[in-house]
Amino acid sequence: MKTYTENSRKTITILLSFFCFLWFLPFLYVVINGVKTRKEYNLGEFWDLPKGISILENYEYINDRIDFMMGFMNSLLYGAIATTLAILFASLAAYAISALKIKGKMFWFMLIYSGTIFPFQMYIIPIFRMYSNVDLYDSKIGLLAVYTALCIPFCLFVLRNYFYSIPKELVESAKMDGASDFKIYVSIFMKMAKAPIAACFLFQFTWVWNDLLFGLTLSKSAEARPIMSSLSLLNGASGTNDVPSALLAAILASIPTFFIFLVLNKSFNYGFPTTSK
Amino acid sequence: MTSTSLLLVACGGNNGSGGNSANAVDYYSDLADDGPIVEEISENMEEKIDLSINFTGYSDGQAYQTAASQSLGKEDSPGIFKWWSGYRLNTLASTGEIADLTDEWEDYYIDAGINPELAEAFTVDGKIYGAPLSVLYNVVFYNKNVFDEYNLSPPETFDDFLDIAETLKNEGVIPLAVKNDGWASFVWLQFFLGAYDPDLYTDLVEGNVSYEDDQVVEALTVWQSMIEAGYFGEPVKSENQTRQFAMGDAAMAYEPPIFIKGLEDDYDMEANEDYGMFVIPSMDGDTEPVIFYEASPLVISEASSQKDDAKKVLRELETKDSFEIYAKESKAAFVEGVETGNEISDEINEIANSDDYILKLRYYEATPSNIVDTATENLWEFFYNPSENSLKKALANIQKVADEEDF
Amino acid sequence: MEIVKSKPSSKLSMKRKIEKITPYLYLVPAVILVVIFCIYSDFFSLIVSFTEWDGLNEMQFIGFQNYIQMFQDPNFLLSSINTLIWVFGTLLIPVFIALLFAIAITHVKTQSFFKIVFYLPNALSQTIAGIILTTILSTYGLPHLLGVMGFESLAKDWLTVPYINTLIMVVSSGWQGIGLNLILFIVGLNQIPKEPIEAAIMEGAKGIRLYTKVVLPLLKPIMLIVLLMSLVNSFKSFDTIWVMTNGGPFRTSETLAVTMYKEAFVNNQLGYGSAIAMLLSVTVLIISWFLLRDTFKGEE
Repeated sequence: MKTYTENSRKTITILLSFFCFLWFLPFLYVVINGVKTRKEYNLGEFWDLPKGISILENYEYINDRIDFMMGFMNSLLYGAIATTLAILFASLAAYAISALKIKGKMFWFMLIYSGTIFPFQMYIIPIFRMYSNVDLYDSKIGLLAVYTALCIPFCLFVLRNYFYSIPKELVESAKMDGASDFKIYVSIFMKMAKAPIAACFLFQFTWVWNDLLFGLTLSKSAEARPIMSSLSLLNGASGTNDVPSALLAAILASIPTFFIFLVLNKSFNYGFPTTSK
Repeated sequence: MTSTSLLLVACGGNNGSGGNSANAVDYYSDLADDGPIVEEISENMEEKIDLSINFTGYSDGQAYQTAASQSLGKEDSPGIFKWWSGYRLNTLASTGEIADLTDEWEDYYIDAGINPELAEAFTVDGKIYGAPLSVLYNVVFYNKNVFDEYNLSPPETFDDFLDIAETLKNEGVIPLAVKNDGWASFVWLQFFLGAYDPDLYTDLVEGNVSYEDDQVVEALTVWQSMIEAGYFGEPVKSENQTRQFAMGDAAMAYEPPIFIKGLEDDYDMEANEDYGMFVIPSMDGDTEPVIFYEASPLVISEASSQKDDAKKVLRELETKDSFEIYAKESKAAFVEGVETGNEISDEINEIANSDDYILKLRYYEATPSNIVDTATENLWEFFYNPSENSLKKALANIQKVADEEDF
Repeated sequence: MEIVKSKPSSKLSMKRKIEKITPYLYLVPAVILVVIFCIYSDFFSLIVSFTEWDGLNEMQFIGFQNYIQMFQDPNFLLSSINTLIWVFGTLLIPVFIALLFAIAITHVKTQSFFKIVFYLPNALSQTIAGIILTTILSTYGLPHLLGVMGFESLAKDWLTVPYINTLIMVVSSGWQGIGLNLILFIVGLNQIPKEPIEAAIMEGAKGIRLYTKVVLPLLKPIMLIVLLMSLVNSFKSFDTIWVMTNGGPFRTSETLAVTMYKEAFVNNQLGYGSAIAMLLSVTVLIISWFLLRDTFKGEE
């Protein structure tokens, strides 16, 4: 904005750079220590520079103990499918709540939204019991269904918030042209909602990817186990710990969520709710 | 519109576990690290009795408890799973969902060389419900290099122990390392009660003596004075406790033998060279010293279709050969004659099986869990602010819970 | 849905009925999934909250006993206070500071660089971030470095200092969680139409006033998303604490979610844990309702 001179811009850049540095410090720690050997880490100080790069050894250690790639692929599958389905279902519901003629809009909204309110830890036992009765325990479908269901409320919230800011006149004129409700949903609402959909995808994919709770409780085999639950198996018995390998695993496991952010970052620049009511 | 419920039904039975094949017995455990050990035992066993073990390790205690407790009572529940002894086993046994193993003990385990006294830890109302998986004896480990540097040797009497602590403190070394796990405060309760009077400990955990009893207060006042004297380190994370000990920042740690694994794997320490162990002498000097142990049982699900196979598998697990495989890996043994390949750990096993020491089940399993939960929190609070008053307050709080408990 | 109650009717009114019903079909998949997993589980917990249950033996119905116990439990009071600290801390760092950063970033040239760095911790899971920060903040991390540098009094495990550790964890979780909100704010700020702002500047609005009077009101829709999301999550704060202090020492850093989890799964008091969960959920539900109520005005 024009009120700011070059000087104040410089000050702001310097301040931001300082905070950036602070924000990055922990990563510096991770990078320096993630490439050390186990003994090098244990016997030295964390600020000592690594004597060599032991990534391969550490990766070998990880792979000896867990099936890293299998967990990685599982989580990719869960993240992609559950998030897509959740966005689809949530957008349909959000469309109905904001643009169609239904009674009790707030009721329906709150009903679905309430799914995000309860502490998820308390879902473990009921869902576990349900799953062991219908044979979904330790299955990919089971985890997919849970993740989809739990992603819906937040997506509904974001999408409805956007949908109700879409001007009513657009809908009316499309109706005059004889467009069906579903056509309006596809060609107006979904088309305009690229940015919020990208946001939902980013947030929910990250959430599914990082979930530990449901992965731990609802899976027991490497075939169904998501990445974070696999990683938790790296924690050794009391007092033993291969910190460098764990750090390396943490970095490797965080690549997809970061990558998705980089990809979606651009699409945030297309239309987001801007009018306030 | 895609109906998800249809999808669910269509792909429902598609779970990958091959555990239901006729000759494999499922074995659930929260000790995920045991996987390779059990696999090795399973391979040996397959040749002998044509049964194998399908091991499932959980990395999270709570997720494990949910999975284990919620699948009990079902036909497809795992044949074998790991549990906890003492009151935690009582709760499980009272459901009637786990098999009575009394006959198995008499017919098989004892003949295989398992110490019959251990059955006590797994006995509920006269019936034995568990087969020992591991028994860990708690001892004091000391860093030999530090002890040598200050010309110290393991204490013969409790006063020696105090002198050692005083010397170390004056040299700027933490005498006793403390780990900050939420439950870990009770080890010091048993440490001091055991050294003060083993019978008092038993009376206390069985509910015959109050926590506010003068003797209990006297025993724990020794603890208080030691905290105040600076003989204990700041409570730190378990990994850091190992590090403090290994680096010589702390000289002693009160731990079970699995502590050795960290010392060897992470810090290249050698038994008798870099570290040693001793049992804390009794305060009066006459009573035999006490070794506290924790015992983990394996139990069998009563309703499981694998029940009979599971019993056969347990008979193979409860042998010296199987325990030797286990001991080599975990660096801890409890069956006489089983070797871990580590001199210190073997020494612990040897003295624990000798007549010169009193064995007691550790506090965590020996007393009702409600009391344990309250005690661990209150003892921590006391530890952080040690004083005559805070000790009294902690003991009064514990007693309040104990008053309402059926022992 | 009320479709079944239809009277025998002519084809025309059948058609009208179908027209009336179709909009509800859009809700079906979402509602079914949420009901199966969430509402069912909420209901399950509601029932459990009136019982004494260890997860193994039969449930014993005990009425409101768990709820009464809750208000007599000193731990519950401390957890509630800690939860409020978390809520305020979250409003401060991941919301307010994120807004400040976002405003600052829109004023500099290298926007994407700053965005990426501030987002980095968000790519980590809360658990992983917690583990990393724990090693940095505990005995052999930063405190050790400071000790070596001569600040002996700082050389202790910071996460084991009661009450201080809650503040440290709030900041840690702010470090981890600021990215998402920051991105949303930047998107919102970049999208604000130029005209009203230019008009305001013409009228002489500047600096802070410009923001509080003109920019922020225009940011309201995004603000609502950020605020509600942060509030809901801060009330449920669990992962960071569970990893970094486990609620200790002596339960001083527990939040309601941690207390709930400990009672339910560590102490095997599922009834009591469920009662805390119910209270927590109802609180969040009420707050959400108040914040969302306005957006539904005139929608019916």
